[in-house]
Amino acid sequence: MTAALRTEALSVRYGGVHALTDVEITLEPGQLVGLIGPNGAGKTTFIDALAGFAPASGSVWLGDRSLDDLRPHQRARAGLARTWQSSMLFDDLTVEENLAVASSSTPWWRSAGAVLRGRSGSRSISRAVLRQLGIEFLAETSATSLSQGQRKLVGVARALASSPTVLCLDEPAAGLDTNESSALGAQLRGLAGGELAMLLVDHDMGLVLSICDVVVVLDFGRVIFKGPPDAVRADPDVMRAYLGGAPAETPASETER
Amino acid sequence: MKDLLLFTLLGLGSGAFIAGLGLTAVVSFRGAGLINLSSGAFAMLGAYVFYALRTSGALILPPLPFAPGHIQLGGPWSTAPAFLVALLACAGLGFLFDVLVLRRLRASSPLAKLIASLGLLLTLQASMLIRFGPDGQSAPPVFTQQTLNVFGVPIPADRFLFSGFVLVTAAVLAIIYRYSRFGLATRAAAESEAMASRAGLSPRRISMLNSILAAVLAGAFGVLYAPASALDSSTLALAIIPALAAALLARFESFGIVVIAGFAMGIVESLLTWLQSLSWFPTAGGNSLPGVADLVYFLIIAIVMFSRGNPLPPRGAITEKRLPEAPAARRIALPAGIVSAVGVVTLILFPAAYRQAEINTVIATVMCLSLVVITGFVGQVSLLQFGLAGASALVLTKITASSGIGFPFAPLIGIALAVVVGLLTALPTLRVRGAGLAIITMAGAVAISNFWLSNQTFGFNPLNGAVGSPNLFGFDLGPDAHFGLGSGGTPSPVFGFLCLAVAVAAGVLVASLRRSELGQRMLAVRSNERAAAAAGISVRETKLVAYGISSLLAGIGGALYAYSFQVVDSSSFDITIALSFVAFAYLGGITTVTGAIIGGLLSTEALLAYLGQRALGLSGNTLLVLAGLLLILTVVQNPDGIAGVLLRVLARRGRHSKSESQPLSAAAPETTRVGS
Repeated sequence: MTAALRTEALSVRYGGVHALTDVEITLEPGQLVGLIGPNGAGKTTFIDALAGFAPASGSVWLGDRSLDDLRPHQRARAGLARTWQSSMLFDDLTVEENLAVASSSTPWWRSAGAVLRGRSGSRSISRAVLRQLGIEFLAETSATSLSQGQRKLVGVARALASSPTVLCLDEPAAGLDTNESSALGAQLRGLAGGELAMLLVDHDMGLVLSICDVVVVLDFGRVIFKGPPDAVRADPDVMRAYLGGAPAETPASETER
Repeated sequence: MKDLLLFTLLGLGSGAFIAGLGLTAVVSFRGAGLINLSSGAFAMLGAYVFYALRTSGALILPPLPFAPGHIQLGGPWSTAPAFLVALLACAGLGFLFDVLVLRRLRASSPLAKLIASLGLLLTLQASMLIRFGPDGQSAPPVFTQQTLNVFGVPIPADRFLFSGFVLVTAAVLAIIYRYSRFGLATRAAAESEAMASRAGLSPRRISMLNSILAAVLAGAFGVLYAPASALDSSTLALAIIPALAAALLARFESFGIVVIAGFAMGIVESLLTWLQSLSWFPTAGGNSLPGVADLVYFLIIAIVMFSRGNPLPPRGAITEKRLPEAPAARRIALPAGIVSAVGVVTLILFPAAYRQAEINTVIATVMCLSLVVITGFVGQVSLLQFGLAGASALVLTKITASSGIGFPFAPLIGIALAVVVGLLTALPTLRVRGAGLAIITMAGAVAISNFWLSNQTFGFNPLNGAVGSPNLFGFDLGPDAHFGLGSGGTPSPVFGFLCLAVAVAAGVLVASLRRSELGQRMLAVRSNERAAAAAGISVRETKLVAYGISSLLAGIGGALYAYSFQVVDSSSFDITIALSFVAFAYLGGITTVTGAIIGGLLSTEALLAYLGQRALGLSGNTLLVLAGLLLILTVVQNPDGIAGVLLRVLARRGRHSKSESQPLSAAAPETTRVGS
């Protein structure tokens, strides 16, 4: 079976700084992989490199398709969705419209034709995804009037709306309290399986270790551990990376605007 | 060789002025975060105050109702006190603008500040037109009038003295910003205001001091340069465009680069004048090409910005703060029907002069709609759209004058050309956003207007004759068409019906666009380009489609203008008019069709302006002063424009009468009902 996502020697360099060095990760379909590491380890840079937002060398394969020459929106259409640490919702649109623009791949000339016929965007996929995440009641709310937790969920929903094969989540639990965080974890666990593979980046070790199938640890842009969640806490390299060995259980310091 | 030297040295004057204004632009930006369109206007103000005092001892006053135009303070003043008062006037206005406007816009986007400075530019220009009329004055010299012999070439000495003054100013500024506590605090404040406070200077005071400094310097440069240039309402004020280009090259940071770029631009302009006198230089049918320097400026800026720009804003880049809300229309057919009915009835009933004003309104609305699409929906401030309208009008004029092609094919060709030019000029701007884009497109608009439209041979030439009237199946639809009902006179209501039908169709198109998936993509791009790309939206494609639609509307507006004017002059599409249109569109409401209609009503020679002239006896320039001030007020108080206020009031009414069921904060929930 082809992996849902595979990277080969993925490296990112900013000037003389090696932000990522030869990262090789494989996500099988249905797998939930956690990516952790201390601040500045290159976790967000890794997602940026996957999604085409950071100039990277090496290769990214989505299924058996190479993404290397694709621009960000083409990678998204190929089936690689991502969320953002700070949600980055489209504040001028409603929740449902946020999902609708992400779910559609209609070429512009056809949507221009739709304008002339006075049609609005399609809604069916958006509704289904909102229902799946239990936030259908937010559909017509303006993105600006959501709570922090709701923004996070809508961010995930928007990424799901494009029916991706791989979903990268950048700190979905940052800024959430413990209850919200574990509720989110349960929802994410429920989404994995079937064809969808997920890569979860988060500071909340408890969340990552409790729901992920495989955990990858990054430090200074290199993979220092790859394996099942139980083995992480015992790994000496990981302990060293986290300085003193206590895995950071504190919630992320970054907060949304 | 001798000529080369001569023209290089002659370019020093305008080069120094561009460099000087560029310096003030950098000071404004570093100190107050403002891309200052009004710097040149401050130079003009200083020069005029100096002129009035020096020649007649009159102190000019701002155009206030029931106030005198000036106070007479004895006979002609001598140079020093007049200079001092001119600088004081600039300082005072700079202070007021900072305290009343910039202070309140501290948290707003650079774009909002830029629009506010546009308001100030328009106000100052119109004020000077009221005081001194459109004709230039001969500015009294400050420097000696001797000429120097440089290698046998006589050069006016004041060019060197003025250049020296600018260079010294640049050096002093660089030292102040590098070493003084004020300079350090300014640099800190540009990074973070908290840091500046720690340095012991309040960010407010830093902004104020820098604003005053920029105003005073601009005034001084104006007084000193006016004798070598022209003292009128546009020359000094519009020199801000190359000056901003120079500042842009210096990333609004380095005083040294601004000075080099400014001088280079002046010298290039002068050398181009010389090259045009040579036999091999291309001409247009024997006439020298106008506006070559403007074209060169635009190309330089476009190339530099393109090579520097990013297809997407980088991670952590400060993205534009939110633009005004862009609510989708709840109903389209009903308002369109009402507007059409009211339009038809008034076109028939109005006397001819009011009918002309209504037609102006209708066409201006189409132009504002063009800005709604590109600026309101996609967040790209393009000042080019009016130039595109000019291109469309030009092609229409040429075709009907020289061939048998008539309505509707001639205007369609013109409109198609506007779309092509719009897309071509959009390509290099795709990687540039925000205020940088405003500067590029402003340079582009000047290039189109000065290089192309003003060219006697391939631009507008009144001698080429009038635009043929639109005829369809033998019926005349033009301004001279016969119509039996109503008060008669030109323009004919029939032409009004044509314009109205086109404008209503354009309004319906834009309102449907906002509701459609394409419009949602545009708003997604406006909200956040990176997130839009991650959601599978091609940012480039979406922007290009928006540019295409916006250019289409501009082309339509241009064709209607051509039919309305009949004999078209390039001055109808120059940069001043383009800038005032941005002001009217913003004032009306840049994000909605309602706003475009209000913008159309407000615009020059449209209904409200005409009413103001007839009922209140206000001149066009007085109305422009008002428009400029209102624009500033809009940016500060109410970025949604007049339409925003109107829609909010209506929404509140609606909620009272319909109970609490519909929260109308964005009116968008209603789109679902329409779509399903």
